[in-house]
Amino acid sequence: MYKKAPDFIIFFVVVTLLCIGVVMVFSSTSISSSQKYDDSFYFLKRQLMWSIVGIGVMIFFMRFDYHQYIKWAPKILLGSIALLILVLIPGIGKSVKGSSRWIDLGPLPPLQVSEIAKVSMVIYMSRFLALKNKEVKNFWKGLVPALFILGIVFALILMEPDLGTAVTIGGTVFVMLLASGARWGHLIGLGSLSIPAVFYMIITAPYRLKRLLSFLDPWKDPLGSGFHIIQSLYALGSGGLFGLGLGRSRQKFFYLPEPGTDFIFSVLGEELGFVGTSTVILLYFVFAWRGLQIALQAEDLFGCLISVGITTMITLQAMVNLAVVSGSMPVTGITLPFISYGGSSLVFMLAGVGILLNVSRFTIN
Amino acid sequence: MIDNNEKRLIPFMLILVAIFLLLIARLYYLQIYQGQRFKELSEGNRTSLRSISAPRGRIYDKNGKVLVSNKLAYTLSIIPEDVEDLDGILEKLNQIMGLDIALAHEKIEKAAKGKTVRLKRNISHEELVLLEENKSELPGVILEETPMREYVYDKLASHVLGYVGEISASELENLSEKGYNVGDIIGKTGLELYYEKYLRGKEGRELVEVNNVREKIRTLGIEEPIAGYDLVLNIDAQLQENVERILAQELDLLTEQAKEDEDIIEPPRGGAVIVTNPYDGSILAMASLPDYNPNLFVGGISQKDWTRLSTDPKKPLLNRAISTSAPSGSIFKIVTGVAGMEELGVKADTEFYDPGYYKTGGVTFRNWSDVGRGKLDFLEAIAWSNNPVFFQLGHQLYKKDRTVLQEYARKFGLGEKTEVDLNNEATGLVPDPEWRRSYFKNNEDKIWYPGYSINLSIGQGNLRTSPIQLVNLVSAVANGGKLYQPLLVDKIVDRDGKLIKDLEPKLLNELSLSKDTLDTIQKGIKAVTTYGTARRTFEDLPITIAGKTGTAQTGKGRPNHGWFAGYAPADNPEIAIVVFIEYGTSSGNTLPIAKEIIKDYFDLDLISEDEGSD
Repeated sequence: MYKKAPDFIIFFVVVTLLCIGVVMVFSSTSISSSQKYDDSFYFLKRQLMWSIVGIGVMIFFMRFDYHQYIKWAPKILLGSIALLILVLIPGIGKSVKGSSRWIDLGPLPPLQVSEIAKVSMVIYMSRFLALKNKEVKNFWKGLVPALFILGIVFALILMEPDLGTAVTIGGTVFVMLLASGARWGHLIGLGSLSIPAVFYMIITAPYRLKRLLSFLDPWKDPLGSGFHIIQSLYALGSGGLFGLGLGRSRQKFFYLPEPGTDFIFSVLGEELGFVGTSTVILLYFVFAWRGLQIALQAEDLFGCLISVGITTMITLQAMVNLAVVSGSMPVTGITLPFISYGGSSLVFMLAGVGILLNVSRFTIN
Repeated sequence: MIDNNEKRLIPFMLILVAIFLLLIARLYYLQIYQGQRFKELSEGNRTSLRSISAPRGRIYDKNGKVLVSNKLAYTLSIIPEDVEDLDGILEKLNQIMGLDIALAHEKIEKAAKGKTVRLKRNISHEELVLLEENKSELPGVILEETPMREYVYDKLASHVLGYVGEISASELENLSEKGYNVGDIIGKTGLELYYEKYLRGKEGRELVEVNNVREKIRTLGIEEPIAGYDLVLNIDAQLQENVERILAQELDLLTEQAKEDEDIIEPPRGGAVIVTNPYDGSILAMASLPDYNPNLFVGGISQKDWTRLSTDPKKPLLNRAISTSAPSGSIFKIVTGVAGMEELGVKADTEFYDPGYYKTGGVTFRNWSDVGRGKLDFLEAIAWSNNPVFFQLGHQLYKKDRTVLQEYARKFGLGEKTEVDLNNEATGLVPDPEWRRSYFKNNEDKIWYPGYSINLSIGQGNLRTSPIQLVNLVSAVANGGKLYQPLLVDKIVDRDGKLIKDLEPKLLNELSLSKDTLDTIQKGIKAVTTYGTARRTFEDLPITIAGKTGTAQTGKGRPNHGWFAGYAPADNPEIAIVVFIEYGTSSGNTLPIAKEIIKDYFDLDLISEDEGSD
């Protein structure tokens, strides 16, 4: 009953980004992994494997009728909320650098539960907003219940703590609300209500404010909070137009934190120059553009909203990461979709793309 | 419905386009417009990340006198990654100031990436001038002021304090995980080594902007180093100084005598004195002679000085107070006496007969005097250090149980480390049948004859003890049977004086001795100085002291070692004291040292002849 083939452009863009990711993960981690694991291909092998597994998962979901999710959405969301609670229990959640974001699965890569939560949130919100479409303009009946559910997930992720992911989910749900017809006025009003909350968070954890403002003038504290941004700017800047050449990054050796994950784009910029960075940005733009086209042409409101959600989720994360590494916004630990090194996060993100591709098979026109 | 959606999504499309355009613009700005500037900065043309050495913790005596501190000295350093022509620069430094190129290469090779490598410490003024004159030809060479160890009173307590030096290749291999790097300063001996992890501190970092010859223009950011923790010692510097002086004077005197007296085969090699508080084992003074000046080591010791110190037959680098391993001689009679009283029921007034020797199984064991004293009681036997009486006790103990005497020796801490807060402490040896079996190859030698126990009973033969063990032994007599871990350090504090660690001495063993035994032994060694072997030395002191001398046979025709172990005042002990003279010929030579130290400590005047006869 499918009307057509899936959106070829999105498929192509995502696979291209994955390929760039595999190459860049190798380039940026070969030194550190040969030092740490005595195997310079350590991260490359894993990234390659998870990309292939991810593409398999993407193809699976591409063939799985998205209408099924309407039925399953509440259970999926409850399941992920359970996981979010589990990860907070010491002993189950794996604590790395002070945050517990992962559940250890033995030989498998640890499960980053907030990645599951992101996709399930999009699915659930699409169902909720599609069913309550008439009421979404009503503040109490439409908006407040939706925001209540968002609040639970948001709070659980903040408790890990993982500010970057929490903000991505919040942003995604806001875009979905607007797309389903919620009033801008309501959302802006509610948004301004969160200002005191943000203020409180900053006061209780002063490092956040220091981090928050360091991007404005990283030179004020070059060895402390400004260090990462300065090193990232050095990397991007030394790339120039064409870059130093693949594998030639110097910043990745010693100066850049997390060169394979959060700051992989800086290494890319140093090695491939402005040509490389603008190409990648263009690819994300094409992805976002096509994602919204799918949403516009979806055969029903549920499909439309699920497309908007997944597209926003991935695009927003990419934009935040790019803004962070280019010193345009405060540092939040967030990875670059499809390119940064990642195990379970990569797979769940590709599952999301699979769902998006499935919607594209039902589009009108 | 679809149309509706289209309208709603239009703002998103616009926002999307806007954000992506902004991102591209930002990257254009960073990579193309500002690219050259960032590139220069990143190539390190304009910045340099330098490490700042942390000052080591200071060492104070118990009264707050600074014994070890830091002064600033110029150090020549280099960050190998920052330098283009490394070989050229090293060559140039070799011409200017004779830098050892091979050594420099070795250091650079082993250094962690991006780290400041210290090539030469304690640059002299002349070298500094030469480097300044040639600095345009030495881009990347860093002249920095770094803290350098200073031993304020030169040789004072040199064995206790120890010295520091640059980390060696083997140390680096063992300690690289603890963040040590090539050229770092590390404690090598003494307290400097034992408390290294407290004294060390934490290195800081400085990001500096530099010019084209890599001179610092300004500091961009700084992470201050954290000074090491300070040590506060139990040592009293004034007492330490006096003890060292008294010991040195006596050793000089004995050396002079040895030159004039042909009977003395050779002069003493050295000596050691320990003064402690018998109630907690805290060490008030610990001297070992000959000594050395630890300041020789701080900027890297010269080959000449090192050869002199390390090949000197008198071994000035050896801390005799803890590393000596020698028979204790008659001091061991305290152990034999205790065992005899506890195991054989000997009392203070038990009568013995001394024919002048002790004979068993065809072997004759002789006294230090050929004339037998005839009848005498146990107290007198201790006071006169009567060998035949203790031979009898030793033999009877052996008959009761072949290892019971050794058990008592171990209860007094012999054959075990005292766990004093210094490395390289001698374990010593309490010989027993088991040891003989495992130590010797020849079957004949594996047998434990009664004669060995008899010899042990007066502290000769294979018994090995150190001054720190004997001061613990005599302290246990003074305090009623408690054996403490002797400690040089009282507490560890930070720069602001906040307590980091309060060192409590461990109770190593508590001997459960009957009151009778304890009283008799205390009386016995008090009698040594009042009417026994050591009476002449101490008779003109206004306080009584308790103690026992010991003469350790060394064999091979060499002079004996001399010992004294005691405490003062005898009835209410404040200090315990051990004196050791290596090849000191006679134990009698230790007595003037003990006397002078006690006189000094209690600030005593001698009783004049008139008053004495009163």
